Amino acid sequence: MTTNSAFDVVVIGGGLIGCATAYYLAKGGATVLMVEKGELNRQASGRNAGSLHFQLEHRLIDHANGALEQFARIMPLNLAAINDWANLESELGTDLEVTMDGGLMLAETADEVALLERKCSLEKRWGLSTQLLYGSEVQKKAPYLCDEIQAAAFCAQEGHANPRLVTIALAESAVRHGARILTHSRVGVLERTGREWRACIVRDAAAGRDEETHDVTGGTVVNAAGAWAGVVAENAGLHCPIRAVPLLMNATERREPFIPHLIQHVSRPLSVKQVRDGNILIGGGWPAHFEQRHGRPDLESRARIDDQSILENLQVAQRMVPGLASFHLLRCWTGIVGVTADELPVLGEVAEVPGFVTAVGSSGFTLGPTYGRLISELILTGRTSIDIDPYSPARFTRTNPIKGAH
Amino acid sequence: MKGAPAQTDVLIIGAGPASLAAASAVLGHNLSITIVDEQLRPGGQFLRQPPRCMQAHNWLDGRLYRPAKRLLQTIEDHPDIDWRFGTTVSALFPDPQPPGIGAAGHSVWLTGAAGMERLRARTVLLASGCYERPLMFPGWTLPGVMGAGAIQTLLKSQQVVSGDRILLVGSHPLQLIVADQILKAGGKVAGVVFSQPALAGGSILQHPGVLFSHFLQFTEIARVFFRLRRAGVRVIFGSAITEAKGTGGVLAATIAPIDSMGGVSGTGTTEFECDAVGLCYGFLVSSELARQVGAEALWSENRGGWLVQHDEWMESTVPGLFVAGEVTGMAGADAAIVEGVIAGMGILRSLGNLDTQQAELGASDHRRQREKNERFARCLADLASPPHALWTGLMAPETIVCRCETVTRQELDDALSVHTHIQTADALKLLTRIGMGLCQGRLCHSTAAQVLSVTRKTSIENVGSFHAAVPARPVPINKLTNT
Amino acid sequence: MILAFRVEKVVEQRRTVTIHVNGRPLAAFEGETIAAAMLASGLRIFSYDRDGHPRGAFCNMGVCYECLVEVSGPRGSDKRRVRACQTQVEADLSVRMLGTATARP
Repeated sequence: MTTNSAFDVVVIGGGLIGCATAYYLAKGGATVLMVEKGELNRQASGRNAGSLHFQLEHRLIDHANGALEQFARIMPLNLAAINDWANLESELGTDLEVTMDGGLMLAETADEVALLERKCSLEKRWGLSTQLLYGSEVQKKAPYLCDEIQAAAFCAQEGHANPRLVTIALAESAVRHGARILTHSRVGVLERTGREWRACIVRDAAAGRDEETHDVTGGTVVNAAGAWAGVVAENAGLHCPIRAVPLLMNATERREPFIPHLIQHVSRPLSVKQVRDGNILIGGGWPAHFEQRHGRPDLESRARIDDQSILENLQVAQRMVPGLASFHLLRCWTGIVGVTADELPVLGEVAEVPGFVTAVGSSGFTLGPTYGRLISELILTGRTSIDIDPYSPARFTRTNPIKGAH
Repeated sequence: MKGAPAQTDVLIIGAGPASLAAASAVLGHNLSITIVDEQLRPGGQFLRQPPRCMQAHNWLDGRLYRPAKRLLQTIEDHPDIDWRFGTTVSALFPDPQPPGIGAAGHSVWLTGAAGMERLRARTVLLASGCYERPLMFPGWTLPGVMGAGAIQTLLKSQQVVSGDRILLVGSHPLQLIVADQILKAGGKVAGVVFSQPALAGGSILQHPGVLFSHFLQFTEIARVFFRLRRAGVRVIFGSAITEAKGTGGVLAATIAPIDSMGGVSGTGTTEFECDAVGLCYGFLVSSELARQVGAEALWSENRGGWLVQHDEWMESTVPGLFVAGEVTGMAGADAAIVEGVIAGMGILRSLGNLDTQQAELGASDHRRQREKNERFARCLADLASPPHALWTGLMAPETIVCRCETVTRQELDDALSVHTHIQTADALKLLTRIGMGLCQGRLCHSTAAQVLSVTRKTSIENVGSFHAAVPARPVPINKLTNT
Repeated sequence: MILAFRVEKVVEQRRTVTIHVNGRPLAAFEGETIAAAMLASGLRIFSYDRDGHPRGAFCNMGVCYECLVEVSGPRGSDKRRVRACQTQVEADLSVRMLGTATARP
């Protein structure tokens, strides 16, 4: 840090969104410093199950009709993400195990079929074409599914990519374009002085070196700290209404390929996919528990596994894909995601605090590269190729003032 | 899923010497005791028993087995113990509302042929023992290359001799015992190769107290050594295995002298014709279940890896979770028995069956013995370990480190040189898939950590262990869902 | 080559059981594990790894999973994957080795 401490942009958070933002910014010619408190890709970005889901998810549609309309405002981002994922491997020149062979959202009951139909017609209005399959058509498309499925919505572009690889590849590409990355470093106080932000960075002690503190400046600060975005915002005297939610993932042993699709359920938390190595990943949003520290959720410890979550997640997966029965469950783990009250991401800045850009939100894997690209457009050109106003942090100023601690 | 989970006062995980000793200490206090083990009979690996239908003549008649065998005879089939054989503890969870009175409890997933059962336990004793620590060298994944303990348990429990000509290589005196047992069973031993120089065994004379307190162990090993010599078995010192050769399985192995830096130069190699190789370079403790619930574990290079820490009652840093035997640090069966008794007293005290004074009375002799055992174990650990550099020094670039996921040394080195930000074992795992397979990193974790610590010039403590995840062993989904 | 063998004096009074390994009948004795029966019959290869290289039993105590095999009952019933070292032989048990001697694509 002795050579240069002034950057165009300081990106906080070494997850997928932070690395994507750093990559697109550096590629666009900005000088970028990315700061990560631990190691790259070690939180939700590296611990999620790698779904590329473009249909409205169960958690969004499992609500009354009015809210469904509200949640559907995510759709322009989903559509953009289809293109971003289709191009990401050639963009970065590396294999990310991106598979877009289609995804199926399943319905077992008449009510679920009706919900699926309503969802599909809504998606159609937003421009996503999903194909409704009934009865034997489902079996024909996916013979490995159970016979009881009444209908399924098929989205041809859905699939998965490997979370172990994507963030790391973005980080490497960012570095190739001149970005600097500091790991094991926390951003302390953030202060606006004139047209610049001053960030106090504390680098952890390591072998042969004590803890180090130094200041850097950035024209813009990007808060891409995921579930920790609220803590980062507080350091800048701001309030960012992100709630940390711990979730469960499960992986089985490797076997010969037999599930080419991403499988979801219209009214149950479920995602099932088979990765290129042959393991089946089973998730979908089953809860885990925060460890408690001084009577508050401890975001620094791994969230604790909920045994009932594992069993219910496996039950629904096995019911949908009976062939999973004999697979060995190999590993369960938890990750912490950041979510907002309205399930939409928080993208952009508020007029009162120029140069502090927020880039967090749910579906951080599927939409991460797109978030990163849009934020870089905003910073480099002042405009974005997709209208991000619906996701502006300003929407919280009415109900939940973003300027809190000042 | 069945109704409300069953409950037990004392859940003992493992049925080896430590567990059997703890169970006998706890018996007679009107407590429900459950013992779980993957094997079909008690005894652990030390006394791995043949199935009842198999008559084994003169089974484990060596003097070193006598105390543990006496204990086994008194407790096997004891009707006041709920024995769960052929059963795996797939996961251990903290139980926020433990049954009965008690500050803390746990619930476990027990899986066996019939499916999964949840059991709630007021106290848990983890005495899950250890397994062979593999040394990685070209050809170590060939069929026929096994842990020396595997060769021994095939003999003990199955009366099968693992090869026509068996080569034993290692640093632990156990390989002398295994060689002796192979000969007695009618097998041939191609040689016994020690990494230590010939005089290393003599350095025990610098610890006369240890020699005196564990005289039997030393004389027994000496007797076996001379018996092997008389039988014409080559015992070679100061060398290590450098390669196992063959295509469908091992047909020959080479050894080479160890240099002053603890490495092997590859000159002066000797080749042995053999169809089985037993590796005996020490052990790693099975502390996964304790680490899964957050018990503190500290790294010890020569005592078995991540050792579970405990207080004077053998209670870990997780209340209600006790430990005994090898999981606290490799010390052998007699020491495990002593720790089992102390843990038994600790459990009785924590459940209110004994007050502290009574428990102290029951534990005091064993605590004194434990101190002696610890001195012996520390002394043996240093004597019986290969030079540090050997652990990472024998691999070729294409040598497999992670057997399950076929991750080579070269892949690790490449990942570490490209991804300079990687500092921890878990980050290396996420990037390379090392440790992501069916053994859940048990065989490769110590080598992965050592490669990382050598490359980054940092300690194993900084590198950390692979996260001990649920389930503790792979378990078929339909067993968990009971379908 | 002899490879592994059973200690002679314990064999005489035991009941034999026939299992099938990769379709071929193999004589085993009651109480033996699949791993012991295979080894004592000269079968050292238990699976092939992802690069098509052979693997054998390594720990014989259920830790390493190198001896994982697929077993099934009569007519392919109750197909499951088990550790050969932890599973006893039964009459008419079929054992199939996992992996192939060719590398992954």
